[in-house]
Amino acid sequence: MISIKHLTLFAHFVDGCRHFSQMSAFSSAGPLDAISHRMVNALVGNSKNEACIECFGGGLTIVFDHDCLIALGGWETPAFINEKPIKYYQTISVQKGQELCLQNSDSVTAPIYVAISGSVQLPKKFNSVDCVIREEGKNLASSVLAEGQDFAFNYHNFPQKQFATRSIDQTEFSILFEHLAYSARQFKQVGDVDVHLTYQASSFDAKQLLRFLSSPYQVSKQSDRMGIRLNGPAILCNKQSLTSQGIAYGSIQITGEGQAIILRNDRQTIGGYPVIGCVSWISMQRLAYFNPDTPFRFNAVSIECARQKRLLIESAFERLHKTLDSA
Amino acid sequence: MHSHIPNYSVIPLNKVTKLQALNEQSVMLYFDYNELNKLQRNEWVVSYYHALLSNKPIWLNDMVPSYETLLIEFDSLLVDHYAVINYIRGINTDLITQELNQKKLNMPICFEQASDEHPLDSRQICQDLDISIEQLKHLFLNSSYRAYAVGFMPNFAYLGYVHEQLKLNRLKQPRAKVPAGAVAIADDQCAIYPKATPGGWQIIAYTPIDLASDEKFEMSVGDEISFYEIDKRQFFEYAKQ
Repeated sequence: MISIKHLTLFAHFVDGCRHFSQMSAFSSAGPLDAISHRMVNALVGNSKNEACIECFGGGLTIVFDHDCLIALGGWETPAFINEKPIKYYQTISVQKGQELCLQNSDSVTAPIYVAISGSVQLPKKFNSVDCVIREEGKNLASSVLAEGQDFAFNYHNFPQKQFATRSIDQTEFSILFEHLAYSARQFKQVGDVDVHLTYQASSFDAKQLLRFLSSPYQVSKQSDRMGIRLNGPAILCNKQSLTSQGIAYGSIQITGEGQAIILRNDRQTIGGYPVIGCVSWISMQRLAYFNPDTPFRFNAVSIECARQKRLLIESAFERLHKTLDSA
Repeated sequence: MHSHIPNYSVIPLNKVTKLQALNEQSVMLYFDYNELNKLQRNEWVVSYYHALLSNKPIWLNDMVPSYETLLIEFDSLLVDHYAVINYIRGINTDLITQELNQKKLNMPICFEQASDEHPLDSRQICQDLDISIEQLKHLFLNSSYRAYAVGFMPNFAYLGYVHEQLKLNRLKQPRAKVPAGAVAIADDQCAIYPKATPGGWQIIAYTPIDLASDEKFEMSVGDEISFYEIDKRQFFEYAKQ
């Protein structure tokens, strides 16, 4: 069992995204940063799609009733095991009865991941424990953490001494950390967000497309797992509405007022607003760490280029697994 | 009653007007062929949807059928969008069987106001359209409806199309809460709200069926839904079951 002793803002269990759920109008869900989610799972010997805790705002205290391994990833917020500070992206050995404490974070939108060696026992839908509050309601969403709550947990039995020294070399596997490297904590401008112009892009005239691709945008505070609302120049479309269409991950919808919204994991499955393009998969993981008011620009890329970057990440994970397994 | 079950032997092949790559892991099929009406376009969406679902290629992750488009999500680590587009081009829709698991559902609805928690817009609608409540019921019940899309929330089906005389604008001021079970009209479509949610569709009736949990009434694109009238007493009896 794991016990939630304290929670300031919001946390939930999230595994790899749901498949064949959108056919039934259920969101695909899944982690906002699939790269960090997978890294922390690898560090504790879990399969890549195993459920981790995704926490926003920090302020989380968990008590473990069994020896286990944990690993932290995502937005680095001071973390302690029984008041002893611990590092991110390395395997940490935890003894029965010890507490993991995440301090309150300086970001309420960037995710922090906590992987625990084993699997949480939660009901599944579409072969996933993920719940979307918009679909279930907060009280019925079984994967959402609440203070005072216990979760049944099936701990793996690992030779702790062998695993406890594992970590991910941020130089050797720099490609897996690139999406975190340009977070607003370190840089005043976080660089470009790759976008493929598609859907109704041809319904925007050249002046609008140029404005879209050359103007600075900022993530607004009205952003959540469903979508990122952007502050920036209004982009006008020749089509004000259209017959509702399926909404791909990363779609950039343009509302009637010209506001851009990037649709994310908990998005509705169909929509009637024009879409100007889709953010690439890697840029979607980066966006998880953009703080409000930090400027960025869209960079038009081809799908082939975007896919190549995706494949490079996958290749890095194959190397990582070999490295961790031989450690 | 309209028949919405297509006769595939007379529909020409390959009515995909556009195959569009959206990102590394999604493509969109468009069926906005000028010579096809809305129903025929949606029939093609459903036929491709079922063709993919019945063979389920290993790279297929999800699909979203909606009106005249079909979104396909795939595993970009296994294939690229060229491979998916080639696969789709090779689908022989002649081989799709007539049985596409499309359901025909018959749903009870009550036009009377069951309680204060079940607001209705019928009186205002009849006034605006200059028809009686009996005429409203007749116009609504006399058709069956096809689910052209399911979205907004799980099991919220966009049903089309209502009788020409029943076309309605959305409410100028949407309700903060439309109760679960509300049968409502906006523009030329109707829908049943599975859960309470804010909304601007005009409510004409309620169903006692819990669409959020009753699997027998889970709607998919292509399903045919018809309605029959029950009174207030039957509404409450049904709701108790």
